[in-house]
Amino acid sequence: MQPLNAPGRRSALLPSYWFNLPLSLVLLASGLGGCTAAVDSNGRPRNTGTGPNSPPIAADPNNPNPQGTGGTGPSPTATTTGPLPPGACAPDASLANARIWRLTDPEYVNVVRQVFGVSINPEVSSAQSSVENLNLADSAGVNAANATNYQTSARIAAGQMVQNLASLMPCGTATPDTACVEQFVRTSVARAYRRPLADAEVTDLLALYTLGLADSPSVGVRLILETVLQSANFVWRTEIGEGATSPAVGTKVTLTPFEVASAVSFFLQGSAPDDSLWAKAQDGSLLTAGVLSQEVDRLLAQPEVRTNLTADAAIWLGLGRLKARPKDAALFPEFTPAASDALLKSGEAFLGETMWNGQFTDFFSSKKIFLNQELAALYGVPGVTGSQLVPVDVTTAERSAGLLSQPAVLAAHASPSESDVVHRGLFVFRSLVCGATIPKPAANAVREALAALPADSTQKEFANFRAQNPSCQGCHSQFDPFGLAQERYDALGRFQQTDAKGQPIDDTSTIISMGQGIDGPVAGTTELAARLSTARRVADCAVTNLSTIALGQDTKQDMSCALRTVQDSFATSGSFPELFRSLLASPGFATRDVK
Amino acid sequence: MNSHRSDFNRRRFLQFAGLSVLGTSVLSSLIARAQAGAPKRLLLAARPHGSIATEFFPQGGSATSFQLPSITSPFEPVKSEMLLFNNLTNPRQEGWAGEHDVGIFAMTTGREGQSIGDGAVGTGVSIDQLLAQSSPLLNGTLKRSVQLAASPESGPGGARHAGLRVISYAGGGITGAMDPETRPDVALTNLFAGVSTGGASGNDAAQARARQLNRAVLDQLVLDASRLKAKVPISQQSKLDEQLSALADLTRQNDTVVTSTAGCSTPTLAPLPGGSAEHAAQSRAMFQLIKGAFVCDLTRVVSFTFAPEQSSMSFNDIIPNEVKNPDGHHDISHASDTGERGAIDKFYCSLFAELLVEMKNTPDGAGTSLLDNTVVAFVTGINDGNGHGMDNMPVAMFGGKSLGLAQGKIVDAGGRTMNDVWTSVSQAFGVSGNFGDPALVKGPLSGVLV
Repeated sequence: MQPLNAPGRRSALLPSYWFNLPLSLVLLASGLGGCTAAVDSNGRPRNTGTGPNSPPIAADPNNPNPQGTGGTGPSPTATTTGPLPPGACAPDASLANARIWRLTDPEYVNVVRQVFGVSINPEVSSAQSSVENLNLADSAGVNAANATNYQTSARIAAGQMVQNLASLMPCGTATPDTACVEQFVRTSVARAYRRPLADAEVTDLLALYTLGLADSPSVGVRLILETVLQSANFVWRTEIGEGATSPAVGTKVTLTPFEVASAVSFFLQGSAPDDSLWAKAQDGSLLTAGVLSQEVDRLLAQPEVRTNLTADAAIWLGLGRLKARPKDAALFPEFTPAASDALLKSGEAFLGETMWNGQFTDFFSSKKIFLNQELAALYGVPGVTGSQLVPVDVTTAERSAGLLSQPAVLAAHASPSESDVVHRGLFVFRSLVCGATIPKPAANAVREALAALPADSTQKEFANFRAQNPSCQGCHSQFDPFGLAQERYDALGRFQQTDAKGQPIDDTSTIISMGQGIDGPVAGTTELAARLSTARRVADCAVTNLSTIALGQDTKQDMSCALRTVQDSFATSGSFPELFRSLLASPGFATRDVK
Repeated sequence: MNSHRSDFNRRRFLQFAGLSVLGTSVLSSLIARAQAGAPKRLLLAARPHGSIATEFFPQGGSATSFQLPSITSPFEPVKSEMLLFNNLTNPRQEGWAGEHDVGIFAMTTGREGQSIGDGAVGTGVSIDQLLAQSSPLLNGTLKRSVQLAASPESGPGGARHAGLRVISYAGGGITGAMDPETRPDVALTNLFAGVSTGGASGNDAAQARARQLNRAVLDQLVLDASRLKAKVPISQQSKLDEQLSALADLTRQNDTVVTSTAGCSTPTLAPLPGGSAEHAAQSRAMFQLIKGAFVCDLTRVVSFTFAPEQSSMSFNDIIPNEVKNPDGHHDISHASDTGERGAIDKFYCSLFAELLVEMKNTPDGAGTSLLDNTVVAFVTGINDGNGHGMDNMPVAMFGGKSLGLAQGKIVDAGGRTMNDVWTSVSQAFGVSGNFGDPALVKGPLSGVLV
């Protein structure tokens, strides 16, 4: 067994999808509609809409969950049939649906290296597929092109593996006999399939070996490997339970210990279960809550796992937009490719520091920024030398808003040439408060709106136009205020006092529709961050986003009490390790609803 | 089972598209003409960022006597096989969001797509996939269709908008997007591995044995997928149906022996040079594969993308005499100076003309050329890189004489959509009915077919 190493599990380019794909999928399912208020008349997210499933109620220091929906007691429950009353949750609902989930190409590569000790070309199912990396369970299939590429990859990989049969096969340098090959199948292939093989499956693979053996033992083993690496048993993760037949719609299945092990390992490690998880799946102990929690804790302590989860947070927060939407090189020659690369790493370093050495509230109050000499010069921070990023506690007020004053975050959601009220606003609206689905405006409507103002109008002037234009204001009034509060930062996230016309920047706005604790006039990023840091809705939204990545399924409409419990726990603890532990050890994680 | 599945897919495609295979209808003579002689093919090709109308469309002249301006001048050698359109619209309804991505999606599927940030998805089926599944003229080859692209694996314009390389859609949302192969060597292996050198040589015996072993692998893969399908929820079975369908295709390809003939041989590809010469070399390698696959009748349907619709490829090294600006294609396409963006579109036209001339010079059947027997559509997602409009689309078609496509003329589309052109093309391939969004199609466009 090879040591696990999962480089490149997540792609920094993901955020452009992350921001758009779930929205698009919702639009596909429901048809384009206009903007609706994110909350009902009582300030609660609409249960039938796309808001988060917990009430957007500001935390009271003495009662962090004013509705009594968590913290010290269980959430109110309801049956899973029929509409749920406001604030209620479904007690029996699983955290995800029963499904099969295709390995991403990085996962495929990792499993091959982990189980067979061979590094293969990263383009497995397609040449740089643009779709699979999102990694929702239903976002990737095996079409004709994928199948052809799997065939090519499997042939190349199997050819590599049989170059050194002695290290591959359990019988070492001896010519493999049937017993040796069977042992290989029952051990190595089982690890590749992430479950023991049925006897019939073993027999099938041995028959392939026999067929190839007429040419040579190497050919026989190669046939097994070519088959395994293209098999549905390999390319699909299963979360369907033990049953031998298709489970009935409306029922619930309990995952096998091996499926639980895979669900944990692919989320945390981007690969198949390691030796410890495998052993506990084999003896069945993994299904006991204590053992599963211990395993999750063991994994959460691993630097590689923390790196993976930090990358997940970077996806959630859209840092990849730094690369996907590069800055105008003519306007910002000082923002070199090296500075751009360093800024992305700076953002990731902030997330890592906050997630693993801090609390969720640090997301909105930390003054720490990771800088090297080039970035420090760019952002006007003295005293930093060298090319390595180092943590700096910046004392100026404009860098005291945690995430919202991180140069990486501000730059990621700005336009290539200037600040960006719309996209910075959408970032907060979608990623931090889980606002309702906003349909994209028609291209012609955007053009008409832009044509109504001079081309050199400031962001504030455009925002004022949208606020007064009936065809714009319905949607923009929900997220523009968040962007306006960040107006004092330019396209690179540098603090600025005046706009392009030399006028003092007005960063005041009024937030609406987000509920008590968030709504109301706000002035500047620091004030916005302070308000978000105390809103229960924001903590719930963090859980919603990270659980969507963990579960491969959009949880914005998840009404399960299982997810509510995770949210309750996170709202109390503010601890990211606790969030992941409570999610993976939840009873709802070990079952799947059949839909 | 395989034939049942094919029938099912074909029926589903036809039902979805509102099309039907022509029987003994008024157009049966079209089929008879098309079925005669050499195989018939479809090549759907795309380049990014539209063009510049005054340099793409003839300025003056008549519908049959015109002079090609700067950008389209490289097509002069195939002008007599060329079909241009005046006032042809990319299908679009007021209120559709998105531009580049939704534009190229609408161009090939005739329907609305949803932006996913780096591409578009939707339920639309692209014209190449529709005809690959439903035309009686395009069935029976080793591969039902092939998707290729010439954009590099990384760097500006490659990685950034990879999703926009997709122009072929099999329907069904994200999983229907058919990512093109960008590696010429891999595409070569995938296409030509089954081409026999002929005769009873030892090499052929080795190939036969390889096919036998691979068939055993494929049979096991079908068994594995079938077993899994029996255990998954109904909602998940379509995923395995798709995989089983793909495996059926691979099995058919494995079992089909294509004997090399005087005209058919496996292309020899030169190593890609890297650097500024890479893009053109990669395009030419793909041209070799397209021509070779058609001549050997390995497939009759190919889609090819030069670069993603929102490509940011830099051209100041590729065509340094014409483009000095180091910005990417997308940025240049928005520049008010039309000289450099015109030069880039002309670069693509020049490259594509090389393939067309090669096809014109390749005999194919009695007295016809490969170009005569191939309908070639050269499309893009927007009309102009700067304006992003959807009217007066700079689309050109070539060849297809044996299928009844009009030659050497300009058709006045009068504002009608590309769906009407595709409807005409569908008829040429023996498939009737309107293509695309019913609200955006009127029927065959007069003048496309003779």
